Amino acid sequence: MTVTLKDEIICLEGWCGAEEAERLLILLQAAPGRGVDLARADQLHTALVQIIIAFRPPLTGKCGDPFLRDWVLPSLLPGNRNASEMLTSCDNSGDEYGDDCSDRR
Amino acid sequence: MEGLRDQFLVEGRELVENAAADLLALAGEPDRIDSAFRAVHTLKGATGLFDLKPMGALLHAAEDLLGALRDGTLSADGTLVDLLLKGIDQAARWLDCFEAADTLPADAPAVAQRLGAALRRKLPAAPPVLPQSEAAPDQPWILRLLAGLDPGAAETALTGTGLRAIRYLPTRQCFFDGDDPVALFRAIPELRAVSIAGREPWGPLESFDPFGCNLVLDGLSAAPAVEIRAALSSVLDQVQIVAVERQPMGHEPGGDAAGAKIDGSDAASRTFRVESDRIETLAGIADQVVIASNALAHLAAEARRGLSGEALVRGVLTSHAELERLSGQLHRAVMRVRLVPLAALFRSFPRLVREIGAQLGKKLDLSLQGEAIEIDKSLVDGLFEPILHLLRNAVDHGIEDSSQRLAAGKPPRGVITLGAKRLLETVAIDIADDGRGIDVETVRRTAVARGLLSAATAAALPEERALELLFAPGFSTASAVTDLSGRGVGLDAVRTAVARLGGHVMLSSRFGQGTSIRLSLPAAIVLTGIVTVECGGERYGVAMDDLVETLRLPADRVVPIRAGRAFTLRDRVVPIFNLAELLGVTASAPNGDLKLLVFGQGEAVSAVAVDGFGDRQSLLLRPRNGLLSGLRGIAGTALLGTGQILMVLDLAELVA
Repeated sequence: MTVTLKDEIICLEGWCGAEEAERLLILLQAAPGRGVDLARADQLHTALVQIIIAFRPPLTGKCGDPFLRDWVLPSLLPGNRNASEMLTSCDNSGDEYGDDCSDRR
Repeated sequence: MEGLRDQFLVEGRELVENAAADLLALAGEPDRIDSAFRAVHTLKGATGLFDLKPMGALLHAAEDLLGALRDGTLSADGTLVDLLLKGIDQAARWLDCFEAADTLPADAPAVAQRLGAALRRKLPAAPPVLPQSEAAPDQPWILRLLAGLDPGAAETALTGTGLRAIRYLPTRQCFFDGDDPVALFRAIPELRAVSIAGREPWGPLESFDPFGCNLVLDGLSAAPAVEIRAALSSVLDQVQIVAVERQPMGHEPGGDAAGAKIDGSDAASRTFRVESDRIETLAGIADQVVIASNALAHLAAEARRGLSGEALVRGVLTSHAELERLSGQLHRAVMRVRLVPLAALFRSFPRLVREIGAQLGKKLDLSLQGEAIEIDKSLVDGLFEPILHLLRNAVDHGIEDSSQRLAAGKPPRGVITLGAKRLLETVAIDIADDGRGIDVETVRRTAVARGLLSAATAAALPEERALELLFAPGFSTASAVTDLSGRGVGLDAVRTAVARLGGHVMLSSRFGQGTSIRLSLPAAIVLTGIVTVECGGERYGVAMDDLVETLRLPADRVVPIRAGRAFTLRDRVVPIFNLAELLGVTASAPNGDLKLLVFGQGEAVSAVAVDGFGDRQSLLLRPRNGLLSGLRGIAGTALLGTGQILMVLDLAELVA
């Protein structure tokens, strides 16, 4: 299972294929406003990226995939439109919340 | 990317030839439409990997028409097939251009448009012509991406080779097709900016469809368009690539590839295919070389342990014999790898001759013989232009109009034969036509009119010597300069190109009955006699065939002439050049006699002074290539027995 819910945070782990999209969608639709933690995510299939873009959930955890972290996620942070600023806030949030999810192990 | 490009060129040519052969055979074998369709379809797909949009558009039109023929919604007739052949011939020319210049000629979009439209007019219900999605670089999405770059990065990126903006609009059902657009997009090299966003408004999130893709992926990349295309090759129909700033413009637009260039020297490094069993043979020999070298190591160990002198000598001799046998095998095997059947060279000529015939309104057939004969790969490359020129001559000057032929009691269609025969160590390539032949009297008159010789000398020449005049530089018997043959290159250029390959040209003709030209070529690369000379402390090679003689000249026989020097050799004044000066190296101080290499023919005999003569050897002369290809005055390189590389000089070019 690469999409799990822990303490109202949806954790994406490892390689998330298209088949995980439905589960992510259900978890987000069930409680809009749930955060998504990408600290352990390696690569997300487009179907999951699309859900994150459409739902814009609060993102926590420094994303393990540099492409998503640097190019895709910054534009999704609330109120942030400037790429470089967004990158910083993404990193900060990673420091704050990243451990939450990793404790699980 | 180089490998991909080479492979594309090899396979592209094969596909073009296959499609043309299928189309030509269509009248007798209607089933070959399938194969023609597949060839064109595959080639069209492959063009997407490179910046060959016009070629893709043209092939697309041809593919549609072939599809209609295959599905039976259209029936093939002569004009239709001609039109398709025209399209395929154009694709072949563009492949040549692409190989030579990495780009299509500037008129390619217009040509593609014109030919494509002509093809589409033949379609039963013409589908709308696809819009050429050539986006301008000032579209909002591109400006947005550029605005996102930080100023420093933007400047750096734009002052380099420029950026390419990429817009990828995946289809809605692309997840079901197995596409992962983000994964494809991340593979684009040298990304400078990325934006992934919803394409249409998302609508109510409760009814969000996780399996429909509704994204637009935009990006800026500093990589060349061709690399971007390679990354997105599976979805190119959904991708738009726009150059944001100036593209690297290092290339001249490709000219007329089948045009006047008739220089056998451009040893284009084309890839070629080798039968696998020939490679296996090489691998087998390589194994045996390892064994032989182990035997030598064993012998060395024995010697160290105090093997008797007698036994050691025997062992060394055995080892040497074995290595000699293997190196001989290796040489033959490598030669065999380099041998390619003439079919590879001949196969594009039927198409070209057809084209030339159509342009000149001549009715003729080309018959090929001896295509299975194998010659060295380097010869294949160098022979294309000379043979094409001779075929062009045969069509233009040899074959008469149908009416003239009928009047002369010949069949209305002319026949040109392109054949090859193996004669001992040479391969003879014959180009023969059954046309009007050459009128020796006209040749004599023209030569006199061109001032090549006096009327009396011309009249005294025996017939075969008079025909030789055709090879004189500047000679052309064509009274009307046509687009095809009147390019200012004559048989002299053919002779030069063939001579460069180590061959020679012979011509025979019977007035009223036809002309035959034979190119005699070495069947394999032969060893060249090379004399080494010293100059400025370095050794260089000179091909013995180039030399008239080598001689030591007493210093008092040198006559200063203006800035230069000369001497008299058999009542002829021969200029002396200094090799060190020609090569730009420091000469050692001259002492006593001059050591001269005398070379050249007729009035153009010259001498080059060197520091010393070395020995004579038979070596395999390799044509200049790679870094050397741009160097003037270097004929090639040869590997010496010591493992050193010897530069072999082209003296005529050096003093020219």
